[in-house]
Amino acid sequence: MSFPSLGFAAFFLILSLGWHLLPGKLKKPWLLLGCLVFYAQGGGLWLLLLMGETLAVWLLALAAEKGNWGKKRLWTALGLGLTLGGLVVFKYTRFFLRDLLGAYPAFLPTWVLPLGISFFSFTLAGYLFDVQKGKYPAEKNLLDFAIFVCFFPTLLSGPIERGNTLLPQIRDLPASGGEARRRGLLRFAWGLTKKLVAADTFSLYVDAAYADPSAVSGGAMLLAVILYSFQIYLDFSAYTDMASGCAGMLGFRLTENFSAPYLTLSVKDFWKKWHISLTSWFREYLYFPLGGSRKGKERTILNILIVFAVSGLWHGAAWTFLLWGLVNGLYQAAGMVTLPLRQKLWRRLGLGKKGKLLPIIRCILSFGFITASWILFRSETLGQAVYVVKHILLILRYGFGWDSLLSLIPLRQLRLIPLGLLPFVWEDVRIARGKPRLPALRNPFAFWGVMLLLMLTLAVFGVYGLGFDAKEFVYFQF
Amino acid sequence: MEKRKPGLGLRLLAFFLALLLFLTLTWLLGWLLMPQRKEYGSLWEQYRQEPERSLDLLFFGSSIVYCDVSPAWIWEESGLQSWVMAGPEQTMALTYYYMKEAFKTQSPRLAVLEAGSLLFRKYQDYSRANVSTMPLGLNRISAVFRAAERSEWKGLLFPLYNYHARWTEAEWADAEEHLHPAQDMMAGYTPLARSIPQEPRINRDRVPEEETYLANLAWLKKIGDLCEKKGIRLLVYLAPSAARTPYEVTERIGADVREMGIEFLDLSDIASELGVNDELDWYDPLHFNISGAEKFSRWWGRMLAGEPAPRPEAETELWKKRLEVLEARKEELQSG
Repeated sequence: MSFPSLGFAAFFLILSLGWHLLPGKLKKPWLLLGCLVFYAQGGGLWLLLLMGETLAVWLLALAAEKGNWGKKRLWTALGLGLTLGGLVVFKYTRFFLRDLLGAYPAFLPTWVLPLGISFFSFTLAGYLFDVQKGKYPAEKNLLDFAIFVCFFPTLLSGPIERGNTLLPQIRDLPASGGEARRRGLLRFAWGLTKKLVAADTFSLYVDAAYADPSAVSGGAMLLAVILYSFQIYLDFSAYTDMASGCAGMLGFRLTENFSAPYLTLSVKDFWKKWHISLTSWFREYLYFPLGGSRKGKERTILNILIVFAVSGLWHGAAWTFLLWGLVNGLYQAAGMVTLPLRQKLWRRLGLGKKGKLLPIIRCILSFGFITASWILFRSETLGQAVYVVKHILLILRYGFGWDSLLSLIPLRQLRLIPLGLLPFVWEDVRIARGKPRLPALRNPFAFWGVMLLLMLTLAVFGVYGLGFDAKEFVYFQF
Repeated sequence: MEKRKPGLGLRLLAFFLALLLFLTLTWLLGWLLMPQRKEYGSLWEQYRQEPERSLDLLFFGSSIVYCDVSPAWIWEESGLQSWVMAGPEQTMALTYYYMKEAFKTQSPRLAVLEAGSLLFRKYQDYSRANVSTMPLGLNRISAVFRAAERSEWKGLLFPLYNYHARWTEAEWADAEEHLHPAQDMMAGYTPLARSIPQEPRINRDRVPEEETYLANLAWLKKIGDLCEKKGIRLLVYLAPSAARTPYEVTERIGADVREMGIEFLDLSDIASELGVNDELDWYDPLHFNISGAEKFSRWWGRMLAGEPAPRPEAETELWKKRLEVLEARKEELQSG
């Protein structure tokens, strides 16, 4: 069940009506039932896997908490084997057999990846790590724990919540008053507009260009590559907006997944602001255990490369994702190595620390590096990624190819792209300045005026309706 | 001091105001972005440009009506002012709502309905074309729920669903066409140029599916009741065609219609009486081209002359102009 659908609207209406009307004791069972129904709609029988893993991890964490040092490790390892092992089996068997062992297609598994497995496996694994380390006690109440794992706003595409942030809210059930509902509704509508108006519109052009790069000019391909940078950000942050919006309407607060990632001065900085719940997961449960930056420069670089390679593979079982991860690791390694050199260069160019030009140059450069790496992320194969890069370089020989660009994106839409991005740039500038993501809008006329504007924008410019296929969120595939 | 929270009344007022504005604006935008229909039936915007209560008779039905019947030639023969308010493969249920809507601005003395739709399925895949041009109102909403496929409901109730993507191509002139629609000089008729020789035959495929036929008859009964209530004479006919419906079926239709107390004319075999040339006057086995339509329309004019009598306050200048435009169009099509 995707957020931008009438089915979800009906589901959420029923769920939240029950949530607000039912007495306190029945609220949690009602919420869990809703979460399971939500998952079963798309996940079908994989619901049993989700429920099985949830129950097993709950029991193992309780056992680990009570056990001595050895047993603690044993139960935790068993739990991790179950969750991360399950993820590896379901997600990577095909890749391992086909790409590493060269198995015939007839011998490859044909199962469909369980919906949201990358996300709920990491939620469960993170919980086991935390309990084992004694960061917080194991949850005694199975109902609370099941809601924590299966919480429908986060279940399919995150944010990957931690036990110390979401579990206390589930335990104590936050008040879901009018203010929370209003904020949640605005956040949801904002995300919906972001997804259907901006991200999905960009995807029309990006998909067309990537479907046959040879059919478009180098200039058109370059624009498609840049638009993909915006598409993936807007798509994923729209999901987070909608997830936070739903949770907010029920009174819950989710972890923020993005913090103006493109308004950043380095690739390293970008990774602190992009998919925060995942990068912090890797930092805490992989990078730090590997030694982090405490064991010298060479070891730090190696640790970064390992983390990014794993992160790449987490996104998808393909060489393109692995290489995408490694490229981002290499960016950071190169950043560390060349730091003194770059500082010297900036000084020679007279771009001192206090100047306004340097941050702009660094921001553009970082965006360029990140955008280039997205080519690997978006391409079906490494060959296609190489072809796309070569194709863009044709600009040097044949020029930009405006005619081809205009056949990909008609002039009227091309002109409106900056305008379409403007509200979301405004949102990120607010975040970068430390302001709340969206204004509070306490005046009901201002609130409903903005809602009206968003809904009208969506109704006219959104990608939906006759002639359009509903587009899934990019991160659903992971 | 903390600001006072706005009261429930104020919040509800803001909500309903926004909702009302949303519904109004999305409807308006959907209507403006929808391409204006200019031929092949369902020309509601043009129909509403006719001077109120100026028409003597109205034709209803499917493409077999808007391709075969030209009001300007009927006027030349009889002085009767008519309009074709038919739609593509229009089902009997849709015709009922068309009639209800059409009678809001016109009170004809005679309504003529082609009965081929008694043999149609419940849905003929043209609900969008038939309903999307209907004016907003109870008739349109009823037509959506009672006569259109469920898959079409979203787009018919919320036209932006179907047409919003046209913002990429729509020009101001498109909106102008909706805001100031022109009168249709063909009065709902769509002239067809091509001529394909036809061998008269019986189309054995045109047999009713019992359950659907009975449902269609029930809608015809409602149409009969509506016309009776409005004091409008109803004439039901079967159109001439080169691939006629089997005799046993047309006879059954005739019997069923007459049993409801509705006038019925079986014109299935009238082509030779009309002087139709099977080599030149057909567009396809069902539809006349412009020369065939002229023969059929003039026949209607002669047949109806005096019954009913033309209104005394006739729009003579308009109809003279219509005839000129039609003759010019005929010449253009036949020479090209």
